[in-house]
Amino acid sequence: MTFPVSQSVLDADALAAELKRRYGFDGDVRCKLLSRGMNDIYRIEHAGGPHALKVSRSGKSNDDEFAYEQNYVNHLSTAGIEVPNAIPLADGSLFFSVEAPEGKRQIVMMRWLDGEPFGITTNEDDAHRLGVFLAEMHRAAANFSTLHRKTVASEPKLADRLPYLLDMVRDRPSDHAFLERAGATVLDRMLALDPKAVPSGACHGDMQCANVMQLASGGLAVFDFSDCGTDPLAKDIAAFYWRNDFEGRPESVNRAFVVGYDSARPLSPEEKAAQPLFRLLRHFLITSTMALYVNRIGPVPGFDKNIDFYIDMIRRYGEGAGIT
Amino acid sequence: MVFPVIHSTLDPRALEQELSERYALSKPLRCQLISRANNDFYEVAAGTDRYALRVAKADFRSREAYAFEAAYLHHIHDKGCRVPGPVPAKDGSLFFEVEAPEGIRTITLMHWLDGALFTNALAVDDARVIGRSLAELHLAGADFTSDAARSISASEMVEERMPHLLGMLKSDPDHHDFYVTATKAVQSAYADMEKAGLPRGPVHGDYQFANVMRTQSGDLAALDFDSCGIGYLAEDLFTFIWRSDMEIKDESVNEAFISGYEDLRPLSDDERAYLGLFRVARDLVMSSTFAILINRVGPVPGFDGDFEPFTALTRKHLAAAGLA
Repeated sequence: MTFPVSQSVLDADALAAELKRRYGFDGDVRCKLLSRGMNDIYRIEHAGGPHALKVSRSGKSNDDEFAYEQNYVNHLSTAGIEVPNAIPLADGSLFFSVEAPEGKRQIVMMRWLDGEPFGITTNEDDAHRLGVFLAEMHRAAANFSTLHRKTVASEPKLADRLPYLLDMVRDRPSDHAFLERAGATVLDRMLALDPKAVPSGACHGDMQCANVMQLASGGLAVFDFSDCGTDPLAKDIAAFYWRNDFEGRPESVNRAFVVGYDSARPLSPEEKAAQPLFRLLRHFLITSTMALYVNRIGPVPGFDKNIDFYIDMIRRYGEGAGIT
Repeated sequence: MVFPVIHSTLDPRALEQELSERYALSKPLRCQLISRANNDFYEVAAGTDRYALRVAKADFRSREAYAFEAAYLHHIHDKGCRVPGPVPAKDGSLFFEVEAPEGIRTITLMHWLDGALFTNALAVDDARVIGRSLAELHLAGADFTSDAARSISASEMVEERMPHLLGMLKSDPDHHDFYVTATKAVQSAYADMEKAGLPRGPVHGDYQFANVMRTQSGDLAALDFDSCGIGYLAEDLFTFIWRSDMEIKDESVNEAFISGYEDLRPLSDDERAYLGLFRVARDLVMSSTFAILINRVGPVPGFDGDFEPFTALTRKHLAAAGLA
């Protein structure tokens, strides 16, 4: 009997043959694994130029959610936003699935983007540009419609994953009690938001600076839409905060991002007032997600030996949201 | 049909169940993935005891090779060497096998070692004690006998692995042709060396600084015996020196390492005559090994396809060995 597995790496040669068949490519197709993580990313070389291939993690999305993601990305592309849009298969569909040992995995071949992701040196000017860029994405998606359904679902994810974080601090009663209490309060406050004053739409879901690329042409491109979905638009800002906080950049960088966003899509007073709550939720969700992944996917560098740092951030931004 | 995979991650919960059936371990039993590479490692907590669990890459080595490694580790652990000795199962066996989607994977439960691994910041004095520690391993293994045969030789590894590197260098004729020429020269010199009757015995096979740990008591411990076997004792020195050449680049560190080794096991004149050959042979082994790993388990840190640093080192050592 085959031993149960939690994750697998698809054979690159078998993938190349599958792509050749499904996309109707002529000539050689080469497939090279570039990164392994939440999704596996390959670079595809063939006569039609390089492409990126995303092999999703089993169970991350169902087919309906994966279709929403591709429709959203292709909508943004049509609207002039630089994104890794899906390349249609020979039959016109935007993705296909294979049965991996751990379950079904969706596969999408995408436009290859050449550029440099933003990183540790992101400054206030960059942040302002990125804020404007996110607002432009939100405006470009205002008329997006699809038959498929996907939500960012931070709240249910937090509810599911918080127990893994609580388990990691089971021997620390003070942290355990705080996280349990704060988690419940965050979820209650999210439920209490007025959807008219804090409107929802299609969101990226993980618009941190490392998912935005400076293209060689000078423009900006955004990638990694795995967490996209319908969500309060103003909440999409919080992923940027999280990455900045994690990398220790000054608060002025966050402010510049919000000013940039606000200049292209003015935030309502309620959206502005909800920012501390969204920031706390983001910290909570990321930390709980890492606690979950440590066992399911494998080690998360810097996380399991450094949990104090993450809990300190939840406490700090909890204070900012009035949750202690 | 299940899609072909090249690697999988075994489910930690299923592993806990398997271990509880096979080993006399305290409860509760908890298994957590801590690193994922050529082999996967899990930390096993059983009551207040800790162990390391290695899940070897599928079909990487023969059953006999794993039997040799387990018996050798058991032998030197019993002789007082600080190594992750295998924990016998209830039936006395030192490892077991499971069928993973990509093939048979060999699993070994080992004693946990607590300490800090050496890094490329190691000092000359560190190198000296690391050299002594390798000599201790060689001396402790001198009376080791095993029913399982496992011979290792840089020459055989180069013969087996070099085609993969040459395949990757098809579009880079300068590097390709250099490696063809260097391989021929090294293989020919090895054929001569093998007539000299140099001392052989159990060797670690990958005694780089990152596989040596200073334990909390101040002793040194050696980890990762995945590449061990019967080989030339003097050849084993260059598993340390290769990594030192790549990352430390300080000849005084290499000299201290050899000097420390010779404090306990002086090299013969015959062994000294072939040190240059062993050094360049290790360069070829590692370049070709990395070429294989890139597509099998994903990107290899520090090895993004730029062969120039590898090639520069190989050219230098080939000339120093009088083989250019």
